[in-house]
Amino acid sequence: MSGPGFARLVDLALQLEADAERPAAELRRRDRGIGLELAQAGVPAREQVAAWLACVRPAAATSAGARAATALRAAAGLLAVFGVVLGTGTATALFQYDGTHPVNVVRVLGVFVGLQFLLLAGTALLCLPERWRSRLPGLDAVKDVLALASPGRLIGLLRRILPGSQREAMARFAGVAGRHRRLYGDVEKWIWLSASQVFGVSFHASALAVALALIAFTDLAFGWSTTLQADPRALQRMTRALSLPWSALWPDAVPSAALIESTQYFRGATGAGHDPVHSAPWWRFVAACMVCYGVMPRAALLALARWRLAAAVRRAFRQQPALFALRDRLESRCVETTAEQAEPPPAARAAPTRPALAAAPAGTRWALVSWSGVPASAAEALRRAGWLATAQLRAGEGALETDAAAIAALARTPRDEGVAVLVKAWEPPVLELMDFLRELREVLGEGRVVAVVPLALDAAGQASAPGEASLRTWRRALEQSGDPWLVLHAPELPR
Amino acid sequence: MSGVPTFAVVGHPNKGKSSIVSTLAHDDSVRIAPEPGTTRVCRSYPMKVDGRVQYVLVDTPGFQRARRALAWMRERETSADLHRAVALAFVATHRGTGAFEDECELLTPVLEGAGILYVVDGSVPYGPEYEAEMEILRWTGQPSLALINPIGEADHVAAWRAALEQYFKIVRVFDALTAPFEKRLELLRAFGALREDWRAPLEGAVSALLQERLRARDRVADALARMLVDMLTLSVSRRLPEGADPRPHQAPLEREYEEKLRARERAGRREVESIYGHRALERREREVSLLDQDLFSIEHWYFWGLRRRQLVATGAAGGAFVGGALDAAVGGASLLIGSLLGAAAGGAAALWSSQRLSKARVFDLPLAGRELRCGPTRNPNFPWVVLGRALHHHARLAGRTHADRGELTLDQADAAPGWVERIGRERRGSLERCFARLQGGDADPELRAELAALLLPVVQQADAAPGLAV
Repeated sequence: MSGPGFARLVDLALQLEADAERPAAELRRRDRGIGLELAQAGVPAREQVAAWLACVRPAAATSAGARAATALRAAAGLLAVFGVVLGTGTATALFQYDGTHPVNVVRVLGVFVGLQFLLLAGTALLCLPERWRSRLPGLDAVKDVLALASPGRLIGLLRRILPGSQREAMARFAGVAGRHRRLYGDVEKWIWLSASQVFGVSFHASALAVALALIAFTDLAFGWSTTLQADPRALQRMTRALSLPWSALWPDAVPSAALIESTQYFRGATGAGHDPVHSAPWWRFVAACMVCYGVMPRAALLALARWRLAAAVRRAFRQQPALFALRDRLESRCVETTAEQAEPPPAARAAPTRPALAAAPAGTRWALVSWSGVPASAAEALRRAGWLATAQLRAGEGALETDAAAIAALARTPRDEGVAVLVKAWEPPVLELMDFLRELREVLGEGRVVAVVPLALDAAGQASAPGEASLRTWRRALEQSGDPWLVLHAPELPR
Repeated sequence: MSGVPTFAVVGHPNKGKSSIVSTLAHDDSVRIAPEPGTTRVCRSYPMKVDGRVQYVLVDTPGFQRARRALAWMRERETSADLHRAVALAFVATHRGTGAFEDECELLTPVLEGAGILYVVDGSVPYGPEYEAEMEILRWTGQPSLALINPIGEADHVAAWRAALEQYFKIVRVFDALTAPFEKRLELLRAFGALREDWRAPLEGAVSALLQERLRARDRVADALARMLVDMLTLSVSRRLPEGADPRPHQAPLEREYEEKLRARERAGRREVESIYGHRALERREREVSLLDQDLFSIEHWYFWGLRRRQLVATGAAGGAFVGGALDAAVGGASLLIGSLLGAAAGGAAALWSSQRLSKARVFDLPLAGRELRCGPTRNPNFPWVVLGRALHHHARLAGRTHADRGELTLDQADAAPGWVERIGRERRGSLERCFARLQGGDADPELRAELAALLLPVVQQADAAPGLAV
């Protein structure tokens, strides 16, 4: 029913589905490592995926695929038992002879030949490829009816009595197959058809065995009776047509006209039809029919279904959509460029200082400090904008002594004057400036206003008002300083 | 550093160091923020090929007290041959003391042997305060290169270049936000030029990155093929009890169908983004404006897909192909009537069916009541719309750097129209036949591989647009 191919397919499907949930980088590293090992071992390309599967799922004997394959075999075994029971029962009922009525050959042919023709025709339709079936109008309806009557459907029921691990493996595969119907449709179809043929073969083989046993060990009388067509010549034409496959090899198994005529009977009447010896030649024909139209077609269909199942399994294995990505991971060099460790969380920000002043009081006189190369034209621009500047110093450039000299000079300025530190708005507030501001506060003491004035430059290189983003950055930095008399002052200059 | 070329990206705070690392390492997990001091500790980005490290990029914090650090070093200076020893002593003295924390952190990889990539912002004026930083770096004695990263619009590159060339042998302009792929490779080659024994590993890295980029196109073609197969064959159904009125179920089923198509398209987008290493984009996908005007804005269909005239022509070509097969089967005895009729029928069918996506229909099931089914869509323009949008998304993504943290806007206004129109007529015909087979219910799984092969040159064309000359 299902060989190692099926188990491997289930394992592959489940592995690929599990891999889809894992990080791509991890898969690339793992599979490239395996790919390099396989290349070193000289594994040919066509066996690459199977070898990969063996590497990622080393415990193949207990894999879900192995369990699913065992489950399918067990379900097929149960179907075979079911077929034997039903075949034995059917044959016992049809070949029952208690001396009152002979075994009705028409009824036997109806069950073991007529019904089989119908079922075989339906099965043949189901075997057609999907693309042909979709073009035949009404075939879907036939398919649905046959599917309802198919013993293969019993697999779903029989699964329930299997051990838990096998049941779970089957359920997992059924889930994958349900989600990827295009890929596994054929596999499922041939599993059903194989299971149906297992049932069919065991049904017909057991019926034949029971019939032969009854013929050998009891005295059966054969006759024929039907209300549809009572003309013996019509039956003879039919039996001759049915006997065509073996008439040359086994002429004794073709009923003669005399036999047919003499074994017709009617219910309630008595006659030659009741004579086991006289009607005995019928058994050869009946047995030949059961072999030729029951056992052999089912056995042939079973072989076909297994062959097609194996092909469908191979195709599904080959056509997994994720196989392209897998081969890519196995064969392409694994290129990694990203950081190995996650980005550390941002440093905790200190609580912002509660400012003592929202802004410098109006009319404040200022000692100006140009920090880190702010052009002298900036101070001029402030003066033009109405600032009352009393001194102009430089800091934040050249030797550190410049900063110390500026602080010393500022210490000498009147206490009612503010200190305005002009900074480049486009540069970030670095710790060196914050150090300067802290040292300045130590010298000036509490309560004296120190304003940081970020200035931008326009296209002509003249000082201008900074943008909101720069002001935001500077404001946030000053809020962290812990100095409540340190304010951000945005001058009213053209932008 | 064990002989592996290592490059420390250093500079003033907020000058785009992390952006450069993000772009070169194809890593959008690098934190980029307007506040200074976002990077407080070094973070390494090893570039590995099959587990073997080719080079390492190190993102570092910016200089915070460069003048004071240089003053400390100058106090201990004896002669130029001892500059490096003084720099080492500086780190040894101050590490863990809380003073010069950032300087110690950024100098450590440099003093361990890393090459220096000094980054400045070319859109702001040069300032002498940078000279202390450059001087400290010169004291380390490591090979160095300066990168001018113009973050804003103003152009001060010439002034920067003039200043930097006094300290660095190699000065490059590199816009981390917009640098096309080949520009990034060029920069890596320049890193290799810093030291003779770094050239080979850097060349190897460049070659591996180039191969990886070419493979990315294969992966995208496969991803698009899978998405198209799924979307063109999707159907949803609902069993109805015998005699039940299907009308109340119709609209919800159609909505479910559309939602599943959208979900599949979104999954396709995420897959292509992950192929290009854009993982953070995924988290912000809900904000991506592409989804504001989504797959079902029918009024936009002719923008993304084929125009009505092209649809008719493509449908006619498909019909003529089938008709031509009939003509060939009768050895030309039909006087090309098959082709003519096929073309007319194909064109008419394309025109007629291009107006609606898919409508829920009722099917009778033997012994099982009735089924309401929606999809697969037979609309001939639908696959072209899906493909057009996907190609546009791919082109935008292929040209996007990992430092670009803005929204990926894919609205019509900035779209280069007619992605599918650029596909050659012959290939368009082959794609059309593939789409028709899928929409016609052909379940052959080989179709996916066929479609991927047809899409590969189309994907290559879309990737070439942002400037990849490979």
